[in-house]
Formats: sequence, C-alpha cells, structure tokens
Amino acid sequence: MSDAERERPEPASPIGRVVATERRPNTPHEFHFWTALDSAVGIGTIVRVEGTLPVAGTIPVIYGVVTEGEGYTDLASPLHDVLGAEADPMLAHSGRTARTEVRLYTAAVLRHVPDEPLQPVPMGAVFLGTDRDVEVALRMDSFLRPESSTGIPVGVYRAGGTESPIWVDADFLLGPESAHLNITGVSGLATKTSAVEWLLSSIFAHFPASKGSIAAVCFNVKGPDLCFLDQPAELSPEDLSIYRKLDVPATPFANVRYFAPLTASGAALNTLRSNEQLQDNVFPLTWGLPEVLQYAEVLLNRDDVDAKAGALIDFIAQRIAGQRFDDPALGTQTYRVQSFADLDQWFRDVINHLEARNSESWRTHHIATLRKVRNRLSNIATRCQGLVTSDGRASDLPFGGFADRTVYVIDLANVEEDAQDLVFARVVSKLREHLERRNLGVDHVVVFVDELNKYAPADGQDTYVRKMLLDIAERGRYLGLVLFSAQQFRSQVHRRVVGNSATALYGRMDSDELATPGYSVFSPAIKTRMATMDKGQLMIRHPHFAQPVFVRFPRPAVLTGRDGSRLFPPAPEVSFEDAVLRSLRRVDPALEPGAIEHVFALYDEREIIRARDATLVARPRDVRRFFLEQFARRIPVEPLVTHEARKALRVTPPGDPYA
Amino acid sequence: MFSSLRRAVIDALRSSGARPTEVDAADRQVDVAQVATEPARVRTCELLEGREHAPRPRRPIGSDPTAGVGAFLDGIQQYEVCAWLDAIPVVVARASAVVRATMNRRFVTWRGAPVEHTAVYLPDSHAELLPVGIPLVSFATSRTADDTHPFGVLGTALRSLHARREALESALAADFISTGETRLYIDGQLPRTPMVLESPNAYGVVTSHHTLYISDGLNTILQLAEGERSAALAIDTQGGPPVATWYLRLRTPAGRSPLHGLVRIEAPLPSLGPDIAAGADAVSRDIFAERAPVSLPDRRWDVTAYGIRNCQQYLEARLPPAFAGERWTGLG
Repeated sequence: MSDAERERPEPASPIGRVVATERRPNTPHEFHFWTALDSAVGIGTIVRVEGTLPVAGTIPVIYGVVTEGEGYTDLASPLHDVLGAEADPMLAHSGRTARTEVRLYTAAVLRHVPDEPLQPVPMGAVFLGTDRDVEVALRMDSFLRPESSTGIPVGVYRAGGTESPIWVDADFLLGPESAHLNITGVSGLATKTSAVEWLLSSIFAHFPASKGSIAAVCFNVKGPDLCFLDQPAELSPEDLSIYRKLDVPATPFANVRYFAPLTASGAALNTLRSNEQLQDNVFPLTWGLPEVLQYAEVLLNRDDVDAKAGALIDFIAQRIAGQRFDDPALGTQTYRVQSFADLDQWFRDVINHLEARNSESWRTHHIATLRKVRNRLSNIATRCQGLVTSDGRASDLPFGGFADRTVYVIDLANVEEDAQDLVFARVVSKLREHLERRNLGVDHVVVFVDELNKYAPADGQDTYVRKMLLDIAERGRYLGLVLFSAQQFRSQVHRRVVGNSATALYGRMDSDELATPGYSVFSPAIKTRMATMDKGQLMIRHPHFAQPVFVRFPRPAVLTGRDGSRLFPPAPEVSFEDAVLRSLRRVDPALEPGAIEHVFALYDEREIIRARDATLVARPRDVRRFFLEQFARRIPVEPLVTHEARKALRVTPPGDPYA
Repeated sequence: MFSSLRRAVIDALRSSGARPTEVDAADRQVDVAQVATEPARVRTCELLEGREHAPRPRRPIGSDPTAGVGAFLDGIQQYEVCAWLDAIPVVVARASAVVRATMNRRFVTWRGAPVEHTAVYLPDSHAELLPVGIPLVSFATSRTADDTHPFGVLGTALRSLHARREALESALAADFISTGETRLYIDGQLPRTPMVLESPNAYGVVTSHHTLYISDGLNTILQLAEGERSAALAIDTQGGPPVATWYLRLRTPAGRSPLHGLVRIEAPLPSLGPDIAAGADAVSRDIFAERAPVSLPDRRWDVTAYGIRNCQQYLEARLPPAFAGERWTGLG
C-alpha cells in the first residue's frame, strides 16, 4: 500500500464517475468524467479517481486537474426546444419536467499512484481533492518533509469548500536545482507587483535555515509601488485568514532600505519616497566617475564604441578617472578628474594642446577619437546627472554587508531610462561579483525586475543589460542570484530568459497575448479563465506540478503606492538651503538653520554639496563642526592686522560754514 | 417520388368534391410496423359523457391548473436467438420495467432500480434440456403445421416475452399506486388489475391505434384539433371494473396523417369523480402538459411523453452488452 493510500482520509461521497467512449477515450494523461449538476467541480479543480481493479496488486489512484467542461442535454436540435416551448421562453422555464442534462469534464492527469505501470485512467469514482490529495497530486509531499521542508507557500487552492495551501520547492524556486520566477499579466489588474511582494514575505518567513540567508533587491522603475514596503496596510479578514493558514506574518517588511540618486542639482534625493517621516531608511545612491566609466558600454551602442574608442575609454577609466594624472606635454598641471566636468576640462586641454601643435594624436589616440569619446561621455553626463558625484565619493548599496531578510529598493522612477540601465547593470554585476566571492553578506539574493520586455526584449539589438539578464537566467542559480521578473507580454521577452524561469505565474492575461503560440499548450477553458481572473488570483507553473494550478494569494501587508502617496505625500520641492539642511538633519536632527546659513552666501552649490556629502558619509558626532571644516581648509584663518591710528590731516576751524 | 402524379391525384379528388388533406413530405412514408403488426379494428363503445344531454363529440380541455403527473411507467423487452435446436429457436430475453418519478423537475428511479426478468424462452417440449438453475420460461405450442414453422415458434416465444413484460409493468404499477404517492402515467393501456382499475391515480396513454374506439363516426376522432378531446366512452375490461377512455389531440395533424399527435387515454372511472366531463378534462390537461420537453428525436415524438422516453432511455442504458445493438427489439 502506498503512502498516499495509507494516509487517505475517510472516504467522502464521490462527485462523479469516469467515462470513456471509443470517440473520447481516456489516456494516461487525460480522462473524462461526469458529475451531478450541482457539483462543485469547475475549471482548475483538482480531483481524485479511485480505480476498482488492482494493478500489480495495488488499486490505482489518479489525480487530475480539470481543464475543460461541457454541458449538454438529449436535445438533438435547438429547434426542438423551441417547438416544445411553443417559442415562448417562459413556457420552457415553467414546464413540469426538465431535460436530462449532463456535465462532462476533461481533466489532465497530475499524478498516478503508483507511477508504474503508466496506463490509461481506469473507470472509477471521482472525488474532490482534499488537502492531502492536493499535496500528493502536486508532488508537494516530496519536499514538505517535516524534518527538512523546503516548501514556500504561494497561496491557497480553493474548490468545493476546501482551501488547501499550495507550496513551491525552494530548491526549484531559489536554486540550486533550478531557479528564477517570471510573472505575466495585464498592468493594473494582474497585480504582478503585489504577487512579488507577497512572495517575498512568504520567502522571508519560510526560507529554510539550512539554505542560509537571503535578501532582495528591487528596482522601482515606475510609480511609487515599491516605496512603502515598510508601512502596514489594512487587510481584510479573508486575507488575514490566508496569512494564518500559510503561517506568514501579516506585517510589512521589517528591514527595508531605499536608495536613490540625487536630483540634477545634487541637493536632494530624486525619489518618490520623500516624505519627511520616511527618511530614516532612505540613502543616496551615488557613484564616482570610475564606477560609471566601468559600465559606460551599457549606454554606448556598438556604433559608438569601436576598438579605438574602447581603448581610449579604458585608458581614461584606468589612468584618468579618480587618479592623479599629469603629462608634461599638457603642461605642469596635475589633473584630478573626479567628475564629468573635470573630465571635460581634461579633454579640452588635450584637444587644445593637439590643435595648438597641429598634431593629430596624443599617446596613440587620434584627435578624432578624442573628440568622439568626449562627445559620447559628455552625453552620458547629461543622462546620469545626480548619479555621479562631483567629488568622486560613492554612496552605494552595502556590498559586503547585506543583511538577512532585508529588502533593498533602488528607486529609479524619476531617473532617465539610460541611467536606469546603468544602475541596473552595475548593481547586478556587483551582486554577482560578491556572490562569486561569497562575501556579499547573504547567501542568496532575489533581484526583482519589472518591465522585463524593456530590458530583455525578444528582438532588437543585443544590449549589455539583456546579455546580463541572460547570464543570470542561465547561470545565476549556482551563485544564489535569483531573478524575479515581470512583464505584461511574455511573448515579447527573450525566450531564454523566460524559458529559464523554472516557476511562472500568470495573472489576468490580455486576450491578444493568449492568442500567441506560446500559450497553445493551454486548453481554451484554461485560457478563458486566465483572461478573466480576479485580482489576487494566479495560475502557477512549477517544476513539481505536472499541470498549472490556480491559486489565490492574499493582499500584501504593505501599503500600495497609491495609498502610500496619499498617507505620506511627497515632500514639496524645497530650496537648496532647506534641502542641504534636511540632509544634515538626518545625522543630527538638532541642527539649526542658523548654524550653517552663512556658508550659502560664501560658497557655490558645488562646494556645499561636496561638504554635505562628506558629512553624510562620515556621520560625525559634531555635524556642524565637521561640515564647516570642509570649508575651513580652503579659507585659512589669518590673524587680524592692526594699524597705527593715523593723525587727522587738518582740523576744521570752528565756525567754518563749509565744515 | 411521384410528384406529378401526386399533384394530379389531389387535383382530381378536389374536382370530384372530396376534401383531401395533403401530407407533408416527412410523413409520406407510413411506418410499416404500425400497419402490419396487428390487424386494425374499430370498436363501438358506450358513451359515458353526455348521456343526459346532447353529446359533445369534441371539446377543448380548458386551461385550469391541475395537480399534474408525478411519475411515468414503461417497460422494454430485449431478446436474441442464441441458438437453434433444429427448427426451435433458443431465445434469451429480458423484460424490464421502471417507474421514473419527477423530483424538482428531474427524474429519479422509484425504489432506486427497475424490475427485470431475464430468462431462456423454450417450448415446453424442450424445457427439460436445460438444467435447474438457468431461469427458464417455457411456453406451449400448438401442433398446427403453421405453428411449427421456426418463425411461428419464435413468434410464440416473443408473445410470451411480451406477456412477461406486461406482467412486470402491471405489478410495478400496482406497487406504486399502493403507495398513493402521486399520479402515474402508464405507457399503453391500463393494467387490468383491481388495484389499478380502482385507483384514482393512474392513467394509461395509448399511442398506437390498431383498435379505434368510437361511439359514432370515426371523423369525430380524426377531426380533433390540438387541445381537443373526444367524449369519454366505457371500455369493457373483461370482468373487471369499467374503464373510461377518450382521445386527445396533442399535436396538430396539419400536413400529416390524421393519427398524428393523437393519443387514447384510459382512466379508472373513480379517478374522474362524479362529474365525468370535468374529470376527463382535468386528466386531459395533465396529459397535455407533458408535451414538453419534446421527445425528439424519438420516432414517435408527437405522442410520446418525455417521461416515457426517459424510462426507455434509462432501461436501454442498463442493457447488458449482449442485448445492445441490432438484435434487441422493443415491442409496444
């Protein structure tokens, strides 16, 4: 007797019977059954068939999920119904007898117990799947072992009054067996972001201790959806019951850190999470010129970067940016290039030097190449304003110090697309580097990317970002780097990226998208259900599940972007002075405006921002002193020179009317 | 076929003063089984209605609500000749009958199962060939030369089977009626048993008209319009209490045979109450209400109630494989 048979619950009443005809036979992968008219069976329902004859000594049990349903009567033609009702629909309704009606369902097989020999589904009674049946049918029993469970709950399956938890295997969701997750659905209806937020909560609650630590990095590229992950939302009793059932705390994320580039002026953070009450865990994301140049090819296409230009960019990245550089040919000046402005100045000097001497090349770099690279890099400067500091200091994610169960959100919603690509490329590359060296701080990282069709389109030229995503999709699971991606149209995303996502979620789907060839494996009834799902419903494909399963997940316990913006509206734009003061008050809340107001009259914005950034990095005890000292070095304090009092040249005579 | 000749005949008949009723193409092929199975007869009976007044040969049944039929009874018989002993067919047959009751407008089988009788049918002369334990129905055969013909013996066997089926139906009807649950619609004539003939809750509905019962001319019956019935007559039940009978038109015969949509109702006299006319109207309304759902694609949809068709479908679904397909036949 198999485990499934031994643990089968007390027999309930069957809800149907298996049928087969020569025209519609049953196979090992599909079977048909009829039910009473009032049965709770529907598309997506999981059922259990019990055979009657033992095979190799065991009564076979087959689990299936309903994929199609038909209803018909013994009516040969609609005209006969018209005849019988005298063409009056009311008469048909009020007749004494109703026609015999059948409900006939087709189910795809999820599992045979025992697995061998694999035979057509036998005749037998059909039962609604219980919790235990659902577990066996979806092979969850293989990884929900009490002593070493690797299950992550993703939602509940509902049918016929039952509500069964559905689990996915962490080894197949987060590696190493397989990894990555992809979500598809119509914007605004399918709740892709909500599904990821819920799933991250579930992962943080259930990630097996044996697999180590885990964190998440989310790129917020549009709207404020991810800007309030640490704020609680109001949940309905139904949602709360799902949280309880799945043993996931109905609380917002305990540890969230936000990163955002600065505005173009550098005064404030360029983020949608700017309300003053929420600034404790918001940090700047700024890089020095070397960090940007390292990934310049993200923003430059093939036409821009030929071999010569590439060589020059490499030279600049290694020898110029962030370094002290001097060249006797350029004079006695020592260059310290820390910003794009510094770089442009250096370019200008080199080109002027060549033009003055009527020379064509400098250190093997042709003047045309110099001009071209200068043009392209200054273009980047325009596109990445706010991301690059003027003094080269970087304020970055805590690579090397990632914390367990922490979400790191990079808010790029207000940033240019090119800058978004740059941030994405660098952050993911750094994650990968540190994971390879096993010194990130956590063992696994989930990277959430929305609008995947933009970053990894199915067609179009190959970009750095797309190559990187392909690399993650194909090799990331071995490092613990897991991609959670989302898009509206899966057919428009590179096949190898979505194909390597072992787990796929589908929310409400667009009908045109469902008509594409990638969805031909689904029955018409399944596709209809996918096109009409409510918010909070998903269809899941997972390696353990032989067929997709429909589940309901609870609303995330975090504020939505809309509610968060209403409760914590963005701070109004403030003056440069107020922005600087506000930044410093994050380190010293008691800092008064009058303590530093004189610097705004004496120094330009660039210097003030430099001083501020240095203060924020150092986080001294005496913020005011440290901040002012950043300026003190540049204006030495001189002793006051006293002069002898001079004698008056003449004294006006008394009574002089012209005195 | 015959389109020009047909047209010429119709025209000629009209010219001679006759009033022929043209028949639609679908009904021009008359069912041979109806014609050839039994000899056709016309019987004159005593009028029950209108004794004191001028009889109303045809009357509409009205539209007052009635209690309605609550159950349907029918049976089928299946046979096959599994062997021959020289000229003697060895017939294996099953007779079965069922009551299907309506519950919330859907059918359920009364008592959960039909009554069935499966047996081998052999003449008395050959009965001893079978051992005890095999169900056997033996029948007498006459010694006339015609009855020793193999088909003659087969005919006798089938009549015996038919009688067995009628017995099952009769017994089942009596059982059901004894519960007094609801009104029972019986396919065919009323079983001639005291329990049924004295019950107020049974109707027999006859759909084949080898014998026509009249009080005056045939036209009274053949000219009934849809929703009209003929006057009630009394039928002799050969020693049992008399039974009232009348004809009811369920479907308009326009373009069809004059017997299209025509049924003969048998009802125990007690069921009609003191006012026979009103009682017959009420019974007729019950029967008329069972025209829907239409029993198409049944060949005799015009006169077969959906509940009776359901009984047949139910019994046929229970046929063992040996009886399914070509060799079975339902008689009556």
